[in-house]
Amino acid sequence: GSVKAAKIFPWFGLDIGGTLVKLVYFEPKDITAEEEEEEVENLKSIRKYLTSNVAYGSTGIRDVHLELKDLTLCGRKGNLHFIRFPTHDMPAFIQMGSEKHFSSLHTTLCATGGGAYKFEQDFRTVGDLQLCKLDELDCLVKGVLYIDSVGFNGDSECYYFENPTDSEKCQKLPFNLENPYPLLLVNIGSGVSILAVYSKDNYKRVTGTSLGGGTFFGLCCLLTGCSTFEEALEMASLGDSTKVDKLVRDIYGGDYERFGLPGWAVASSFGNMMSKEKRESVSKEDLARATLITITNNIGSIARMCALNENINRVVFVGNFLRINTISMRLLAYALDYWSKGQLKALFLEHEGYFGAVGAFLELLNSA
Amino acid sequence: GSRVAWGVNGRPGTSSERPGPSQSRCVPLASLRGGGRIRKEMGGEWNGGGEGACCCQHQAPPLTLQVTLNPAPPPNPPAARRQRSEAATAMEERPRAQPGAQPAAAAPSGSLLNGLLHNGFHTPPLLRQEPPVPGHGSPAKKCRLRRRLDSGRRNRPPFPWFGMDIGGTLVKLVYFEPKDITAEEEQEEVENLKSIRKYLTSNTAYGKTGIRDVHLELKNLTMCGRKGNLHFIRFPTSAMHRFIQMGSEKNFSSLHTTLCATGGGAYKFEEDFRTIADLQLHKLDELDCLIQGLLYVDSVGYNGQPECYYFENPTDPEQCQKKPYCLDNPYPMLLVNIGSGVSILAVYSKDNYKRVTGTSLGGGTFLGLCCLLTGCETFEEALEMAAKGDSTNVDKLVKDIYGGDYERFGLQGSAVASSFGHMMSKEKRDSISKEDLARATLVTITNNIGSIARMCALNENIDRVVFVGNFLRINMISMKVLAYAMDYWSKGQLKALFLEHEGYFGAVGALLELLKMPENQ
Repeated sequence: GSVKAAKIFPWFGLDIGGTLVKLVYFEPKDITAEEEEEEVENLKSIRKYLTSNVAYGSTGIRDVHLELKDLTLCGRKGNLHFIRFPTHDMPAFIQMGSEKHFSSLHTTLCATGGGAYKFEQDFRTVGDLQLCKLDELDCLVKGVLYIDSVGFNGDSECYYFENPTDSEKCQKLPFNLENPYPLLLVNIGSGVSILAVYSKDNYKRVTGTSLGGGTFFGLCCLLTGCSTFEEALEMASLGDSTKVDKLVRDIYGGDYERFGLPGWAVASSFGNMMSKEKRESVSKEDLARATLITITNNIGSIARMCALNENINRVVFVGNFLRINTISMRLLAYALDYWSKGQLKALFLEHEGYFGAVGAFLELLNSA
Repeated sequence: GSRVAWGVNGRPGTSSERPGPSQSRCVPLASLRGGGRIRKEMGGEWNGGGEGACCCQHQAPPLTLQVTLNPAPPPNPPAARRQRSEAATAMEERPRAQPGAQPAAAAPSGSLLNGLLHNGFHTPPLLRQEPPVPGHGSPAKKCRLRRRLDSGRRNRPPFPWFGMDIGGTLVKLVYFEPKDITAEEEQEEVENLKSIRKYLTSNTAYGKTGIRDVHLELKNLTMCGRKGNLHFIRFPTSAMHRFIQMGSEKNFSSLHTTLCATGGGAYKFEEDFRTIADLQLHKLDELDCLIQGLLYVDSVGYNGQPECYYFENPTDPEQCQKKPYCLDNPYPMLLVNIGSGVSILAVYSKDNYKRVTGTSLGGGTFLGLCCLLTGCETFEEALEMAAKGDSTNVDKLVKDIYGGDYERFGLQGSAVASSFGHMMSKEKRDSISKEDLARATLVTITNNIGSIARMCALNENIDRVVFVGNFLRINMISMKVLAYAMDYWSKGQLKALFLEHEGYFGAVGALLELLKMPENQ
């Protein structure tokens, strides 16, 4: 059979988003002694730098728990690593590429996300690197399908929640995505894109919303003084949003039965905050929680409308807004089930925000 | 939470079924650009659909006919009145609608004219059709008239006539001030009724927070055979207990009038009304009332001007114009009610609508977030700050991420990719102003509502979206943002429409429901 031309190492996929840069790196584990001898110095140093650290500089992080082991790609066997750092540090990253003479490796750098366009010129002028620019949604879809197909080190990549609102009984259960189509894919990054995927080559962007992860994070910083996503989530986990939001029962004294609105449903997010008295009685944690709930519910509501419009009953939520964010995942799971009367199912994927980078990586391997 | 009893006469409109395909629709605007069409006159010559279909973009107000036919105020009534026939004489005293009116069935009174004039669709059942006013005739004839008119009078509830909508943030009150009170009626009028009338009509502010929107007053309306002005009053729901207290102090319950109320507060405060003020509320559904109120106010028009309008060139400050819109054939329409929260309704006919969805990110969210972010305390302050701010300092735009447009999916560089997305950066947080934050909050909430409304319009296959609710009060920015967004994101397929009486339709609907009740109910 035909053999694909050997791709030059290193193999990267890059997704430069609005808030985070996602990098996937393939570490070959089948390097022969001969190959190692011939390996140029900076290539070896890149390999060692990336695989022997879990943190890079002051903001780069390797998500070790997501590492995919023993993958075979293009005839090579190795591990796939998942690394992220803030887009804010992009100039430093490009600078590093320049200092390490990355360009002398003559490798193609496949990049997606808005930053592939925004930083294209900087890569060229500062790092002497030519990016191969790819569309972020193409890469997202390809990345999702690939990762789900290889699985997560033997476990399922895709999962859902049973009893999402019951802290004791809530269970994360595997979901078989073998027949994925049609699928509604909700990508929650800084902002949100919603795609209807009909087959591996056929999808459309249904709509989007600008109230995404960046909104949650930005509002939290303003309202609570926190400065990282982790802090914001931690505060949210300790707060009570019902002090901040005006519920149906606050307006009706109970349920609004006529239209099936239970008393506990939020009628007006942050609606209690027009009262000075109430403002003085809520904590930063309550505000963080309310921000999280508001953004999450809004996304869920829009996703539900799209699922209805497109006649699709499986909604997959991805993107780094959901990273370590079990509150939002469970809320999405519950809300989708409740408001659709059990017709819709919320699904999640372990590799959350990395699919664009994986898709870019795959494109590298596909190109002649 | 506790269950709320549903005790009101059910109204149709809860069906979630789509109506049949034969609803008459406005002709899409594109086909009518550049053309104007004057409304046809009254009396059954109006073609509901097809060739006579609306969506016209008038230059002239379409209700000139109503203006000329509105009678002059009644002349001073003569001193002597017969006791029994005060209603009859009052009727005779009221001027004819048209000078030289014909006797017998011919001379229509003001209300009948309103009924024929309102918009070409059939007479709203809420307006009472009066028995014809006869010419001066024999005593026997006058006696028959008196009996007929007495029974007519029993079809009217006693004054005062109020409609009340107790919302999450504001209470909206409409009050009908009769202007055709005869000297005799005035003599008989009980003291507290008179004092209510005088209190409401001679003030424009009440207590610390009550306000009468004088500019919205509808003059010379005929309702249930009485002529008068309709007043529009609002106060914060947080002052509700004070209001109930006042009702108790003024012995409102002794007037034995029904108080028709809608909104969540009609349920929440029902018991307080009963225990503190000894008043039984007649509770009505807020969305039923919203629709009936809207249809009514649009039908009577706004003192000769159109109630409904839209914006031409919404993003061009030089060219942007508010233009009248003829809502003669309103169905189907998407109705977006932006109060503390948002409800979105698809209205297929006056009795057939469904609540499509809602969102909790509404006017209350804007005000609440603004108070937190800027330290402001009132809606007016929040809007004032927003008017001076720049949201692009706060929001992350597509061009901030892409360096330009995201062409593949038609996203311009100037579109917002992530609302408040810059605020994760300390540097940026330190560089923006409170005004920028207020503006970003306004734009974020408004665009989100617009986006959801657009999705609903698409899904329901409706091309006219009417925005109401007090979030839009004095809020030109949001109206223009909505107008632009609807047009832009739908590539001209959708039109955003607005109504002058914004947040009062629920209260009007409640009043209309009152007028359907006979006196002895």
